[in-house]
Amino acid sequence: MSAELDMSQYVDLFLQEGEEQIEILEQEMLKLEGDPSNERMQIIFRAAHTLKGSSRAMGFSNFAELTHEMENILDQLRNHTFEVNTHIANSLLACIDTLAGMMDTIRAGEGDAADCADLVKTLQDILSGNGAASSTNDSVLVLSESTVGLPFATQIPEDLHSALDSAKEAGNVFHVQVRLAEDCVMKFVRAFMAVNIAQEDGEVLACCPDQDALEEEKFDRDFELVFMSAIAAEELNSKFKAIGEVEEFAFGQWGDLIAPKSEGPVLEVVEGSAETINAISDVLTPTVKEQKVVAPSGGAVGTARKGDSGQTVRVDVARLDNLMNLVGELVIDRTRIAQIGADLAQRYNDTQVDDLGETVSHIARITSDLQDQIMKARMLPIETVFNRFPRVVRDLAQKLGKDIKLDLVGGETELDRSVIEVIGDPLLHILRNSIDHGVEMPDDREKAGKTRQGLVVVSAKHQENHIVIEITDDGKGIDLTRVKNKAIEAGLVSADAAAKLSDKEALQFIFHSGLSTAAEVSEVSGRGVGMDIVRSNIQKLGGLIDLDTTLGEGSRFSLRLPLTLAIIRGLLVDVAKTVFVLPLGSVIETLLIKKEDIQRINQREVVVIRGVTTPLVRMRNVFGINGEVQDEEDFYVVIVGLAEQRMGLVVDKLVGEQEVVIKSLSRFCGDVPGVSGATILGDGNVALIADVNGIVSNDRG
Amino acid sequence: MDQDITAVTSEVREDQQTVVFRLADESYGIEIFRVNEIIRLREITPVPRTEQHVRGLVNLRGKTIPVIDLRTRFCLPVLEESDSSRIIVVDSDAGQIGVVVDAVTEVLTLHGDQIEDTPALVSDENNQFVRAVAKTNDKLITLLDLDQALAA
Repeated sequence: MSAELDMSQYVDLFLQEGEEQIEILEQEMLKLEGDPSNERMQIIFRAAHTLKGSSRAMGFSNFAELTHEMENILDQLRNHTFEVNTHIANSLLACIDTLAGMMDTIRAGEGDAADCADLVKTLQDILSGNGAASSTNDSVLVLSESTVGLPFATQIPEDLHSALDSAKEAGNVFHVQVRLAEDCVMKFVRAFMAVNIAQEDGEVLACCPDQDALEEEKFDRDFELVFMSAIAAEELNSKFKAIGEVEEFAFGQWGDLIAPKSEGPVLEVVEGSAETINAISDVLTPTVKEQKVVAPSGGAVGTARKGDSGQTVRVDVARLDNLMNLVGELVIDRTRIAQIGADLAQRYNDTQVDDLGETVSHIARITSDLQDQIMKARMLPIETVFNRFPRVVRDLAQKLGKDIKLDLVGGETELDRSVIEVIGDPLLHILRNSIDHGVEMPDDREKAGKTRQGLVVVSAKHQENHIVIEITDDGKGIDLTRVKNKAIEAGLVSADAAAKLSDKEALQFIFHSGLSTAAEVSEVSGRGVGMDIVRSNIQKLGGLIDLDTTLGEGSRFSLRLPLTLAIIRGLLVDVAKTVFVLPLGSVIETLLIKKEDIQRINQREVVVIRGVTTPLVRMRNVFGINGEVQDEEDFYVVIVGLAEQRMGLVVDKLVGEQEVVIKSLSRFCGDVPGVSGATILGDGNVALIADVNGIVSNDRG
Repeated sequence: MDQDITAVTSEVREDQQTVVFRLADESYGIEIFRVNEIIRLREITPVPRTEQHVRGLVNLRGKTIPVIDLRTRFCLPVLEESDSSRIIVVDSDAGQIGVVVDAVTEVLTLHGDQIEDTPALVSDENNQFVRAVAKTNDKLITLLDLDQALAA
């Protein structure tokens, strides 16, 4: 009974591990089509097997049934009874989807109630259609040949027999045979309860099936153990009785139950017992690993990951976030202490102040290291996002009848969790777009003198404190004339103005909501909402998005994103004696311009920088700060870029560059346009973090 | 000592411990359990595009909390800050909020019989912030309805 109670605690663990296994399954399945190597097959098989085992242990019978059927097919594939084809791959992928769906319902506490009868049928058809007569997995040992009662049909090698006989002289050797109930849902757990009883004050000497099989539930209903124990026979007997879900069992001293047969499964020796009993050491076969005590929890889900548990620790995300907040406070204080130290050093010439200075710089260094380490701990490879892509591309390409090769480059590039969480959807949007609108149909490609197979490359790389993600396709590119016409149709721009737009400017319409250049709306894209969402999401992250396209040759989207959202590097600027922080990620350059450089177009101030006309915005006006009017000869201008736009912010002074910890504005203040948060500076004062996006769009609207 | 106080307060249930502060020569009171701490006036960073009575943000041991100016809120003339100016940090639905006052004078235990409803004649728009009025030997104390006063 207690075991069932325990199980409920392991649902989380099951879900966590299950998700990993499903992901592995999906990843490898997708690769399998192109590269059906044996190792890959093994990985897939193992993942399916682990899923089956753990779901059974948890009593999710639908889940287990489906994985069982998958395993049957995989086993045939592994043995090359038949080979992978699209139909099989599709069916297996559909199974994986169903499994993922079940995980969701299980997480929601609704169990694994999905209807998978169709899938099971499909799988069985595949299996039978290929002449694989046996519907049973051949790796499952069938003990039920012993049709009636106990003892079972168990082969016992002669030398093992005599070894056990002699072991009996050294102490109490017991023999237990168990047949589990037909509807036993947690066979594996029951087996382990039995093994644990046997090991409680003794050692398992031999078992059938072998321990790996027991652990992985590769047995039908029967298993038997031969073990040494210091516990009294009656006590053991009652303990075995309490296991539950047992149809029948026999227990006695070694020799009492023996009915040796010449066929059936072989009673195997447990390796760990070798040292204790010299008498049987010579018949040992090194088949069983040293897995003497396996707690049901670990065993239930972790069978495939032996050995790597020492290297990693699972940590609750909330804890990491907490840690990050604390480090944030520390960073603020570090800056503050450093400043106080510097002030003191200026005021007093004293060795103690020097000591303070040294200590302060040491603390500063350690704090930076600590911050780096914790940032790293929160980093995930972007692979976690990329991993969703092959499936999407495959399905989409199939649906559209296109032939597309997807290359993922730089999946190991790491970035902060907070960013990982939000970039998945924007990237997917762009990718869908590239496939739907970018890459042409195979025939069209051929006509255009390209290979039939289109190529889409998604790459990620670090660049300074940023990550740059590029999505490149070798498709037909974007027809700017069409974009302009669409924009005129949608009333976004007048025909005259459109004619004057540069290519770069015309491309910006791609990011407008309600504008799609697709001739017709498809299921995939073309509703004209995708790119709008992409842009707003990227902007929310303080990122930049750029688009290059060559008609007939393809397009490239490039995204520049900050590595984290918790601590940023900021440019401190002075506006009417108030310090504002501009996220350095949005800052492109700072300039000192002369009054006469400022020109006016349509009542707006602009400045021409290296041939590019850049609108100017006076920060004072943006924030409605009154102060003495700037009437100087020189102006400091910070050129900021957000998404594809560039703009010059006129500030009074540049103060410096500093790492700042982002604090949200109090709910009391609500949403303040143009301000994304606040931070605390080295002098202990609060500074506002300017929301470049807000400023830019405010200026536009 | 502590026991004495609890003994007294439990005898007269309506007793209230009140933080009394001064604002343009009038005395106001806030229930002490709403008050987190009282700090000296410090640099307040203005937040643009917020309501007028929102003075801005201050740094409270690494946290940024908004500060409102009760003088502006009550349409009183704005006064230069003095040495006695204080920020009373109170709890609200939107987290901690600082309230700038001219001075914090005392903490009083007001007995139930000292507290009266707001007189009807005080019927300007500031009235909505007034919860009750307390009489002490030498003066009247306006007991603030803090939630009303803080609400936008």
